[in-house]
Amino acid sequence: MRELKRKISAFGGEDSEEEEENQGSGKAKLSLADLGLAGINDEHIKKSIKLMNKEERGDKKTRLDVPLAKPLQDRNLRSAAYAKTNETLDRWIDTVKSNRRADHLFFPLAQNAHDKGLDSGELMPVNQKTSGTELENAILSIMEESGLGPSASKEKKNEGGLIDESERLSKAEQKEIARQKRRERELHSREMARQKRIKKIKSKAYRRIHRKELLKDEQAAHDALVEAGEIDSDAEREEQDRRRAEERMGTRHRESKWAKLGKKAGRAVWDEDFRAGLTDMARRKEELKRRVEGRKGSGDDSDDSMGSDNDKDDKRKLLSELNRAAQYSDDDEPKSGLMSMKFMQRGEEIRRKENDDLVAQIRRELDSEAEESGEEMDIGRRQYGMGPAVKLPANSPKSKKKAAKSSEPVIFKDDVEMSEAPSRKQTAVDSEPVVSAPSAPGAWSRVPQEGRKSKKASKAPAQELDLSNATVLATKSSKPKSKTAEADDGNDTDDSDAIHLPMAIRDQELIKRAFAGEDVVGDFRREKAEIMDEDDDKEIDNTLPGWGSWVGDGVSAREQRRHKGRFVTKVEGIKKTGRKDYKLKDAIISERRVKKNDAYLATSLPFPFESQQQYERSLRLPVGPEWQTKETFQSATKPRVIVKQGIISAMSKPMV
Amino acid sequence: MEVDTVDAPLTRVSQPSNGQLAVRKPRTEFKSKSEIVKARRQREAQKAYGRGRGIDVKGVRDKKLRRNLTTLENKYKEAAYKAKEAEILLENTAGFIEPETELERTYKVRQDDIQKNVAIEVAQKGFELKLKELGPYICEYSRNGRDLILAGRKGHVATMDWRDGKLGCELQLMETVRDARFLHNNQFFAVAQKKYVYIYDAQGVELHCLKKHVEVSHMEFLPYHFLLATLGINGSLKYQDTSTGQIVTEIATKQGTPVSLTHNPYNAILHVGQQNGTVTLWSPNSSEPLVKLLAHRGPVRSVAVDREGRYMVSAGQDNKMCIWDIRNFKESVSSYFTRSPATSLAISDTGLTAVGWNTHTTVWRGLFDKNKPVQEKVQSPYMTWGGEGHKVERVRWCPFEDVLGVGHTEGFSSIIVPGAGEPNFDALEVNPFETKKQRQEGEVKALLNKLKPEMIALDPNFIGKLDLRSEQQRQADKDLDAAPVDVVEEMKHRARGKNTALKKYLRKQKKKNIIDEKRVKVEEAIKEMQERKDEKFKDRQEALGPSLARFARKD
Repeated sequence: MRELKRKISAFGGEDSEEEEENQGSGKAKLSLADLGLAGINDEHIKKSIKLMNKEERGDKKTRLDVPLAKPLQDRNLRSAAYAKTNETLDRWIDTVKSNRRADHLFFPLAQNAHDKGLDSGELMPVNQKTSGTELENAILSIMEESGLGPSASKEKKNEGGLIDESERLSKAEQKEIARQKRRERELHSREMARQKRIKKIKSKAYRRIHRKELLKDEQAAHDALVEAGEIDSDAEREEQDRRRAEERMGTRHRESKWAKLGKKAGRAVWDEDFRAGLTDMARRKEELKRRVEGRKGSGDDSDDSMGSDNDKDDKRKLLSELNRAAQYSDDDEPKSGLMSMKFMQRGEEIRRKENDDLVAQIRRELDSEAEESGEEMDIGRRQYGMGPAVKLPANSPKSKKKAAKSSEPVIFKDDVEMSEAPSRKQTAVDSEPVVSAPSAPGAWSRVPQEGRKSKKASKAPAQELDLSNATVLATKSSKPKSKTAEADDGNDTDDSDAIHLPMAIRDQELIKRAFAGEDVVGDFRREKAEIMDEDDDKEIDNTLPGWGSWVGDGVSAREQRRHKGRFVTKVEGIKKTGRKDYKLKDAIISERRVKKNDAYLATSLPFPFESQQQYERSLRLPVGPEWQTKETFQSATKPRVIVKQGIISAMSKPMV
Repeated sequence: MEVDTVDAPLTRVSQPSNGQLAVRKPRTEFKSKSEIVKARRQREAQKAYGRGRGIDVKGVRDKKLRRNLTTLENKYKEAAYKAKEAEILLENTAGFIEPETELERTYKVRQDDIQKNVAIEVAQKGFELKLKELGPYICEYSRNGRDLILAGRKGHVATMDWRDGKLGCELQLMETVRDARFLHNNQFFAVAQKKYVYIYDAQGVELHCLKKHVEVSHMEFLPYHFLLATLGINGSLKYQDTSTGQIVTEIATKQGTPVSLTHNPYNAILHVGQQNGTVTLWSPNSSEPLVKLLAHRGPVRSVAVDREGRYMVSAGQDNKMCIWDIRNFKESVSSYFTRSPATSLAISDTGLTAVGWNTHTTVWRGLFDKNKPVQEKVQSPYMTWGGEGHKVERVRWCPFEDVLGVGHTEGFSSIIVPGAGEPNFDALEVNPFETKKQRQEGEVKALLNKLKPEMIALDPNFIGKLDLRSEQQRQADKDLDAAPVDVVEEMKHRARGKNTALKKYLRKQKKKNIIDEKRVKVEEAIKEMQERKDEKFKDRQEALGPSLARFARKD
């Protein structure tokens, strides 16, 4: 090239040295202008020039990356595989958990049961449609004749006048309804509908543009980072590789077991899922291929070219839609009287203006975008062949139909509401007595005060009530009776009832005197005090007499006292106030520990429990059949795993 | 100078006087009637069959534990509910004599009136046995109420199926009989005679003479522990296991001659009435009384405990009858007077208390009621009997029957007291209609379920509870004088098969290849044994001589 240039410059009479300088300072690119061919109009040459340009631009990016090292690739594959297996295993977690928590497990499993899928629920009532057998038909007809069949009940229902209105309506009425509906539709402004459509298109266009911008920004930022050396390209590459590996692990690829089996069985013909899987597979493969070829970002040539192709289609679609929205189709023309009114027309006019503005704006945006993308359009490999099929936009007649449909069920809705309302009322009525019934007597709101009263009452009477007293009272009240009865069994009544009060009192006094000699109460108190002292905290004097002091004759009492209590140990016992019988006058409760009972105590808190209370309260209910009902006992002793005889097949899929 | 001060206003604003009532718990949410009913039933069930308070589940931190405890709580609730539901199976109800008017008194009703007005079958249960010579008689029923034992002070002992009037056996022991009692079923009974206690079988054959129980005045049998407790005149309390025959404990009560004895069916604690007016509570596990109650001013003539172990009734020489709440050892009501010192007390399953005093027997109803927050004093008795000149020696209720047995100087009387017996029996516990086979099976089951004497305590639910001693305390409680365990000796005495336990131990340990002190000792022991064996072998060889040496036994 240089040679050529030099020759040309020589041809132009220029100095070669100057050229040398140029080379050193500037770029070594040769442009058409340099060759003096700027103004060429020949088409063939233009074409080749274009190609040249493209090559020039492309050669920076088309260089392929060096693949990752084998161990790195393997590692990525492994981690991806690990994640995948985890995912499959995680599907079982819920099942395992629920089985672990279950009180009882039954084998064989319900999902493998021979009658799985059969409805063991209640039988539905038989009517003409469902009755299959002859017997059923015969019985049904008999029922019908006697007025007990299903149709009889239906009639009754219809008398309520709620359902199947359309059946019973006359033709004239139906027509009336249709007319009404049409009027409603017409009332809906034409211009409004148009606005809706335009807005939809606008939002689509916006989203598209935005997406583009976002991608571009991202790419720019990324490039900047790469240039600054902040992103480790190796790490990034590894990341990408991992993503690719994951993708590969996740896809059902053509060589997979799934695909082969499906193919063999011809599942694509009948299995919807399989077909969906196939398309998914194809899509993923495509994506993967794209990813393998180069980077995913929009900077990629191939991707971009495809993307731009898609974009073009999209845009075209949008534009066509826009055009359609901008025009008025004649069949849309309203013919109602309402629309011919002045104020309606005015409003319509304003709306139309707005709509037109909107359309213009969208057009502008789309165009500007086209200009922008026009620069990049030619970059990258060109793709030949058919592009992706252009999908027809959802046509408006359909939507219109939908609108009509949506307006139709209004009547039914009303019906539903009508039928619902009374039921709600009914529930309200039902619930009312529930509330009122118990509250009527008002027993629950009253605080029972008997307990307190009885306490007072029991305290009030004299502490020691004489039995004989009561019996005497009783005899007094029944005196007239006893007089008559005396003849019969006078002897007996005399014996049992004729007790004299003073005698009883005298007896008591006598008794008191009789037991006065023994001071039982005093003895008891003394004993209790003794025991209390014995159990109480004690101080033991360990001082040895003569240790560090003189003992024997001649040592004064003061001196002896001085050497007492030098070494004292304290033995902790049970304090008087802490005793169980501290407040009990007539009881001494032994505070000694019963050692033999210790063998039946738990030495430490068993594992899962957190507190003594939890543990001890969990032992509340005895297990034996003597202390609970048979049902409770059996459920408590039922084995955790129950296995029926026979072959038990493994769980085929998660149960939960 | 006086200064007027503003006093508190004379009229105090107290509760609203317009009849308003504060609603404590307003019911705001709606509930269906069935829900309300169910909640009420659940509450009732919890009250009747719930066992104390539940676990506070909300405070549990561990998730798994929380879930487990919640399920457990639900199970307990369900169990209580089911038990309540099962009440529908209790077909019989107890009925008392009720006065029609205020003037009517139930204690006026005589046995003749009752016998005239009840079914013949029931009327036949009231009868009288006239045994004038060898009295006064004491009486005891077997646990299921089918059999009756009568023992006259002067040596006449008889057992009978009292409903059929069939005599089981009759003994003339020709010496003083102080007490008699059935053991776990009607096949055996123990009699406290002049010097020793004897055990007889249903045919009246003397099986055992318990020579360690000397001059026994009172006996009790603890059916779940198979323990025969005897109380001697000298105050020695002895427990003998009737299934193994061993004496479990001998305790000297050191309170003088005891006057009365009974046992608490709830926790198998013995209540001994003493001369000095105290009631002492004993278990075979402690050498001193668990509790001492000052019940009376004079000797405690008789003691009885209700079947749920809540209330104790005691009667003393001071003409008093006291009712004690033995859960907290408080006197629940101020005491009752008896006209003369009561000789015998008995509490029926439904809570009727029979008091035998002098020639009379009085039956009290409602002396205690577990459902009442505060016990009330009863003004008049439920029924009376007697006054015919025979002194009452002992009163006993027949289980599962409305029958009170009264042993007196002239023999034995069976009187009908409506509402006394438990109307619904639990065949898993005791079956009054059991066949021979059932009786035998029940015996085996009872033996298998036998409780150890060490399980007796004031609170029978202590088993499995947490030992709250501190580690320091535990160390202090350890017996430091005990000889250290000899590993080799322990090994030698372990149950073994063909090989010695020592060898087995070594064999197992060889695999582990851990050499510690224990193993070294064991190895040494084995080596020694081997050497001894070799020596013996050599001796034998020598004894046989050189030519016959090869026939010497090796082991």
